[in-house]
Amino acid sequence: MTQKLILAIETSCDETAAAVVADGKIILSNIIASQVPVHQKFGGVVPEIASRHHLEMINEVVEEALLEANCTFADLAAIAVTHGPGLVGALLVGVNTAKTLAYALDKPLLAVNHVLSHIAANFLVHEVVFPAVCLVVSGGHTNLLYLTSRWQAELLGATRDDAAGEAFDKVARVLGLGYPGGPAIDKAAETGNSSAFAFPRAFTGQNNNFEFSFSGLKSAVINTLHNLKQKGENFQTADVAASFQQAVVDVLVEKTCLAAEVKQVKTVLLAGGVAANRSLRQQLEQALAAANRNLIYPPPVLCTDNAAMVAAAGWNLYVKQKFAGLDLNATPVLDNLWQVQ
Amino acid sequence: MYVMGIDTATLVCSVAVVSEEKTLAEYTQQVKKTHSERLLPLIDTILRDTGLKPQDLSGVAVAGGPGSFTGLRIGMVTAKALGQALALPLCSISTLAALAAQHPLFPGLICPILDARREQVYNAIFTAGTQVERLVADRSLSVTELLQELQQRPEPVLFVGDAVPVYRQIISRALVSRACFMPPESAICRASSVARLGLAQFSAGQVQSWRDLHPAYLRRSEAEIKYQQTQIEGGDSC
Ligand SMILES: [Zn+2]
Repeated sequence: MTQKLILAIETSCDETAAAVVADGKIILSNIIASQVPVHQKFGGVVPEIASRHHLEMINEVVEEALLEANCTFADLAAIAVTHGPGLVGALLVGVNTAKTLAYALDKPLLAVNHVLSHIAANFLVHEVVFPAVCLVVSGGHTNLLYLTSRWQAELLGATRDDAAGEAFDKVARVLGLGYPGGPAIDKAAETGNSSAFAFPRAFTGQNNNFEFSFSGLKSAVINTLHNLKQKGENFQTADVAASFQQAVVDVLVEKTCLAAEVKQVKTVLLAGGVAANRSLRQQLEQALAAANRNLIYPPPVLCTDNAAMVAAAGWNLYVKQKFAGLDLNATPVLDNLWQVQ
Repeated sequence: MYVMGIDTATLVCSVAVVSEEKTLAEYTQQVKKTHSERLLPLIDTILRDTGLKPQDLSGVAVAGGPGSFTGLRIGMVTAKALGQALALPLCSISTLAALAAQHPLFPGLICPILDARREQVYNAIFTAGTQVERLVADRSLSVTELLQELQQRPEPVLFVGDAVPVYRQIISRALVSRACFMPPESAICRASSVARLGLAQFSAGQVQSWRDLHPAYLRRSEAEIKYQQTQIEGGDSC
């Protein structure tokens, strides 16, 4: 067997995940133990509870990933792990498990950036033609990047405040749609009128501005609801959800198309949990197609947090032999990461 | 039999390897680096220095709580991963029992106290003199409650653990000359004590795997406590 197998571990938020991927491309197993039901009654992820659940689940998830891939620890070429950004206590469970396994088994350790791993999810399912622009949207991130290869990413812009997914969660909460907010709003918006309310679209209509801001939009939704309730006016939750979602999608589509235009790329990648949003996919695809550009995105299971994408990103580090040391720590905020890999 | 001990329940990061006859090595640090950065390098150092490979170990014993939630998790996760990678026997030792076990000859009660914040300590009470025996299960309580309990008894009481510097004056005022303290070196968590208790368990055939190990936090998360309070309050108003 000449295939190189990477065992990857992901515990940055509320999914305990492990996967075995061959040659950075072929998914042999992709196990995800979701904690969503555990956090639902709190209306969001509780870090201490997430950390406790990761500890209870991690070894079992690793065992299952090996079993399903029909391999043993001895067959592995390396062990990859998300070391940030994310919830520090949650990350620590994965980081310490991965580095102890790597140490005990005498395998190289690969420290993977979570945002880059979301991008790498695309490499598992597509042959990406570079250069490309990538929009990463999730509960923790909203980033526009310019990719010149699998290894090199340049940050074009990021959110100044809330991530897009965070805005989805908060608006879903005030609308009583439950947690997680992304799928809940996507569903509720189906029957709503997306132009019922005029919510703000920050930093739009500006050339060369790739920054985002969603906190103003979130406040506008909350204020609108407050006013409607005070006046005792009737409104459709579906209309609010649809109008809010349209405001987010409009901003994301405009900025991404602008980036593709400025950078003159043929290919645009979508990544992160919010990449599973159907309106975003459809509208971005249409807008790009009009300019003869191609949108690619992973299937939903590879959009939300998983370990197969960590293995795909770890493959880059493995090939370049950029191994992490025994003192690897969790890094809740990773700033200067874009030119590194 | 070589047993590794790990204790990261407090700010002390301690790793040891013991055999039936002796402590081969013990490294104990209280520096400003996180457990996550220190623990595995210390394990690597101790194995190199003792000339052992990870697979030469007969088992790993870890201080399984109570203690700092994050600290406990780092020690526990490391022990579990060693157990899973090498199919090593594991065991979880009470952090408080490991503190008490360092003072078998003390003629009286041993009372380890760990800072549990919110004006509480994690505590258990042991008798000593010839051998250490547990009187009370591990628990979380206020120092005032603990001192009231101890005032009912006649014996001298030895206090150890990281909450001693925090409450020393209050303890001395309440118990006067019955309160005994150790120099700092003898009052902190040490992995040799965890390993020694682990070795006894392994010898007695009490062997666990990574599946059986769970930290003894002794306390739920703040979010769960608050959630339950709102449920109770909500119930009252109905
Ligand atoms: Zn993510």
